[in-house]
Amino acid sequence: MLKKILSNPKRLFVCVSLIVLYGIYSGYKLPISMYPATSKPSVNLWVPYGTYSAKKFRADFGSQIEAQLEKISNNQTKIDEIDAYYREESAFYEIEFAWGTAYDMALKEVELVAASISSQLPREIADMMGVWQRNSNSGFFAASLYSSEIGIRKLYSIIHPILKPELDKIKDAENARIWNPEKYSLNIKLLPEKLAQYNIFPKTIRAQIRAALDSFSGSNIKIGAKGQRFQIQSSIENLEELKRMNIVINDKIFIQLSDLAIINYGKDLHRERSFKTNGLNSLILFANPKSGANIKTMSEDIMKVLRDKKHLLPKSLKTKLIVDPSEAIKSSVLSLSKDVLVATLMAVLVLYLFIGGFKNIATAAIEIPLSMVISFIAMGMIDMNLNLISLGGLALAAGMNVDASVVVLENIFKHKEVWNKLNKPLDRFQQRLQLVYEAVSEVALPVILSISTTLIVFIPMAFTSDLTNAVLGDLARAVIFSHAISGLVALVIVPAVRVVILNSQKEQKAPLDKPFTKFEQHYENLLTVLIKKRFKKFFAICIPFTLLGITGFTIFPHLPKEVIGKPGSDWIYMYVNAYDTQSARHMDNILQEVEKKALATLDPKQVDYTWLEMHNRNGGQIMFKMLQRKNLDAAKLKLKELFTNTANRNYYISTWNPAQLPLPEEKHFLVTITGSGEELYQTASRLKAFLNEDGTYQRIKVNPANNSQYSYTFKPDPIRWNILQRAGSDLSLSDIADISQLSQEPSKLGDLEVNNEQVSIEMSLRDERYTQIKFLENYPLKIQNKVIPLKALGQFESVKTISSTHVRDGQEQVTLSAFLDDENNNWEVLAKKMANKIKNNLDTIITSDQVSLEIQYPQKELKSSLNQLAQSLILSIGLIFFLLWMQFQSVKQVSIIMMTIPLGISGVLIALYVFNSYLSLNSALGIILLNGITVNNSILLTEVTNELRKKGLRGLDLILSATKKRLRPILITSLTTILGMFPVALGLGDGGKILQPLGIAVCFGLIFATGMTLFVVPILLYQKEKSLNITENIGQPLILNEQDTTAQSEYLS
Amino acid sequence: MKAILILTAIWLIPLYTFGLEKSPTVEVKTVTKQTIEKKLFFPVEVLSKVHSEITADFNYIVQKRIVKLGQKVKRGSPLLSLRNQDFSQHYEPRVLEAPVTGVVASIHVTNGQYISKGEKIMTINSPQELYGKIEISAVDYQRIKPNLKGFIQFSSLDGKKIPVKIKGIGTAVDPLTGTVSGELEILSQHKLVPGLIGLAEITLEKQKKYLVPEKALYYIGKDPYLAFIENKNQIKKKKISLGKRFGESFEVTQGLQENLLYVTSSPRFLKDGETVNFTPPASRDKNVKKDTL
Repeated sequence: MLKKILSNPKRLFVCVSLIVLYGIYSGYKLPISMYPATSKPSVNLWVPYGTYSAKKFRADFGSQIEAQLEKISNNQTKIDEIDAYYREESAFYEIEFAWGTAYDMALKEVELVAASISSQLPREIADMMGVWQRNSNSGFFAASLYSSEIGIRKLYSIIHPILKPELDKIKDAENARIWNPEKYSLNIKLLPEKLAQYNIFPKTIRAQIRAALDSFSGSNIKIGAKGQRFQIQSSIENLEELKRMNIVINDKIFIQLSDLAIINYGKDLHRERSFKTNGLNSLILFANPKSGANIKTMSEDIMKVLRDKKHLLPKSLKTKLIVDPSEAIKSSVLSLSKDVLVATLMAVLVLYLFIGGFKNIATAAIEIPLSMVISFIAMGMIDMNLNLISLGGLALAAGMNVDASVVVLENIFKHKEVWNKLNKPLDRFQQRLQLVYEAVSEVALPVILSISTTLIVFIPMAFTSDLTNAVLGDLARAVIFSHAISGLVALVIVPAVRVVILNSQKEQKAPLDKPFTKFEQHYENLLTVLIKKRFKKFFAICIPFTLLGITGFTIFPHLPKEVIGKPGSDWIYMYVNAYDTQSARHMDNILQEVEKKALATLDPKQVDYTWLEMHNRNGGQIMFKMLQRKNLDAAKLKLKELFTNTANRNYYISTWNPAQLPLPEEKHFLVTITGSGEELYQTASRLKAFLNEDGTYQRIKVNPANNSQYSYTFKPDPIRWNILQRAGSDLSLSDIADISQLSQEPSKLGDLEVNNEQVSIEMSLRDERYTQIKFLENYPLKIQNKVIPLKALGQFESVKTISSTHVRDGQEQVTLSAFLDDENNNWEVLAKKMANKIKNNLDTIITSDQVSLEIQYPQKELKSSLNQLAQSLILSIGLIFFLLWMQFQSVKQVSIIMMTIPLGISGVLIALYVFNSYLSLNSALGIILLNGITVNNSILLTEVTNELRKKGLRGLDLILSATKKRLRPILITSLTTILGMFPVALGLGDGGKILQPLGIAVCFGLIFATGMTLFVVPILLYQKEKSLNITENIGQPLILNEQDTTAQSEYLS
Repeated sequence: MKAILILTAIWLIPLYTFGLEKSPTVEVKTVTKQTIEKKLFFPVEVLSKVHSEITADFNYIVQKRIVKLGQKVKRGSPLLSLRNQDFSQHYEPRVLEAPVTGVVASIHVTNGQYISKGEKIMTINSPQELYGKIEISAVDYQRIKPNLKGFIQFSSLDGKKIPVKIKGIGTAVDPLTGTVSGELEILSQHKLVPGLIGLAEITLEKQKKYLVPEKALYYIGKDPYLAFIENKNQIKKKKISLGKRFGESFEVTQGLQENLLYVTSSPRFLKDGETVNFTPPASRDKNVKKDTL
């Protein structure tokens, strides 16, 4: 069939061109995202308590909500874990779905549950509930908008109406919006003394304002032939009407709202956030992509909106991109494209040095782009997307893909040499076809076999799950498609090209021909010496396993472990915590001072711009965008030396990359305490103190945190309340809770249009003194013409309460996580020691039978992933063995071929150690991949040995002839793979660090394995020949044709 | 040999310096008793000593309102002309006279209106003769005494402090509210009107207590600890007993010794025996803490 295809190369070229065009189109249509989904889909549900206490809310609604959430599991959505947090003022549910659940399905299911729950909750709670997806993989877009001439409120009022309608049209964006930290609202500040004077409570005012804001729609009224909608408008349409609104008290008295409260249109006072760019107040344009959307398209669409509407926006408006995923993707794609280009150039260089001739190298080099483009078709068929990981896979495969073409080409040249010696012509098409066909047929099986062994190692990967599959799945699939297609290209397209361009002329000598011949000679001499040594068999077998044993016991345990590498960055991130601030303005001033001091220290030429965000009156962050990444570490060090923690100030300085692959947090020690009541939290407190005193861990996190809190409780006097109710008072406990809440946090009543802007109406208590207990105790209440303090109706007590409760599977839990500093990689050893210390001191930590403590493996995702990869490694070795046995039908031969595997693994471990790299999912994948690559060289050697044995060669001659025949292709294929992986091993460019361990593993592992293969395998093959007592060539050769006779005489000479 | 020793020393110095973690700098306070002013707070209603609520003794029709809202009237001066609607009174006209001297505070009727017996007609009070009325709960009754001084603040008067004194305290507990009424004498000239509601702050007494800020406390289990600074600036954590809370501080009932230094805030957890740096506080802490029970 191959001959038939090769007999009409033009038809083949047309088909291939069409396929390539379709491949380019498929590649263009592939969705692009930052990363594959490396975290389980997770949805958050937040429910405020309103006037309920945490305990009451949990009892009345909490268990119901948990039960309804647990019922979500069905065919398409399965829940892994539900964590419920009952905090001081609200309940928070984190619902984690199983791997593979669609993000949009997960969100939809929780939204349905929330909708059904909300009907059972009081309105003020139901209105404030929130559901959102915790999808840290999707990335986001953020840009700051500011002007040195226009204040941000005015700027917002100008640009918001222009940009919002356009932003709403962006189909890939979810809720693209411009965030104004100085948003105004209509504030209704109730006067407590006026409320007492008229004996009215906030609930009455709230209900009447909400009712007045409602509007209704009726049916159509016919006016003549036309119908018009009957509508009942709200009775408040503007600020003046709101002020004049009458509040009805006891159906008799009408008081204007402006007499009971101060109403103004002003800054949202409970919003304490601010954003600044280069010191100027800024707005933030923010957008998340929809689930499954193309984030690159989303970013580009937003930038297009800003460009298209620029002429309508104020001239003084400036835009600074804070996070632009399309830029990160573009620069990563560019960087990876460079890697592919370098791999191609390296391959071309090697081919030129060893083969020579422009036509020859072009024939081999087309392999790389062809296999990549055609693999886009396969990727499109299984709905893969292009992300940094899958692009990395294509870059990885670039160097490997050319191997098959090289082997085919090399064999074609060998056959051509023989034809030339026999003076056979190559002018006619049929002659060229015959030569090429014979050459390809000879190596077809080894090529298919070697590609199969490379690909077969990925089969076990298909059975991995969870994090392994999430992180490596796309990479593995990209390599599989690209490499499989390279086999087709090598066996079909490359020969077809040679059929067309082959001629009788002698092939141009390669530049390294002469040096290579000398090298070949030295190699043969050395091999001959080694083969003749005593104990060679012993050393040949022992060296691989001894090396594996040594590296396994000495290097492997000390290699630092991580899930995946982190990319480079050009942002420095500084978080400032201040414990002595009294107001938001104070915090704002502190942040500005810190920014000023930091900029005075750093070289101004290195800083592009700064972005400042105040979160609340005690914390905020400053971000420095550096012009060049190379200055980042030095700048970070300067800032760390300048800003040291003090009693009232805490600084956290790190680098930040919005393009960072989001992964599970890397804890170094993890304990879960289960129990109930006060004893649970006291146990956690004792354990934390124990860990702190020990000093091993620099940071200890308790979840839930801050559980020993003092709060005030009001215990109503039952007799007093009874009497009040019998006397007809409508005062209730929820009124008191309402008053306390309103003094802290405004209550939203609705929206109203003011100055062409929809603003929210918020009601609170004017007198902030009532946030203090001494004043709240004396809140005035009018009971039958007497103004009494609230404390007359009950008792106020300061009690220690549990501020936040974490419930999982119906059990209360506290989790302690501990972290070492960044540079310490011995965490597993330290964790074991700490576990023993805790076990020896358990009696002092746990003092109750109601509490139990469990020390867990802190990075179970990583451990599970590495275990799965270890299993995949063993399985892949087994599959290679089986495949090779099917081919060679000899256990001894297969064992010899596979002797390269321990050599490769040892080489990887040594390389990771020398280059201070990590044992990560990527380097583990590199080991698996390397196994498939290293056996290829052995397969080639063994295959040609068997062939030459059939032709009558034996003993040392057999081995030397075989190695001589295969030395050049082995060196070429190894060098193309090694040099092709070199750019990846250097870890340059955006995203380079992510794949660097993989590059190091394959690159240096292969160097090591190839070097050893060229000696160990021939020695073992010779030993095998010896063991069969066949050392001398037999008298008559086996069936030979004319060509073979000549070849044999060449070898025997 | 010398050169080797010098070179070794040069290497060791930075190793020594950088190998040791720098001692943290902490904030400290001296253990000393603080003065706490005990205060009590009450909502207060401003009332007039002259308060006359005029109600109808028969059924009437209002013929004419003679006075206006806010008008000063003397005792006996005419307020309204009425026509009696009761048969027994022969439908005679009547002029309603002011029972007290004061100011017309409210008028509840209009010309031509029919008013029933017992219905409110008018209120007269005297804005010059005002007093503050407080309701004292059972909790505070034992502590409050006549002649104690303080001040009232009204949110409508932007927090201006008006001095007052407790003039008298009742003896009867209202069964509905559970409070005893008290009267405040307003001591200064001001623009108050009857019906205003404010908050009174009355100073009781001063006490001396040991107080520590809440942020200085370490909890191990349920037990509170303080980190004291002992010899050579080393930390030693000791258990203490806490009493009542005063704002952001706690009274310490056991475990403190006068003039010891303790840590109020630090950049991180401090281990026992760890050396710290600090700036000694001022020679005497003169904290007069104004707070309530």
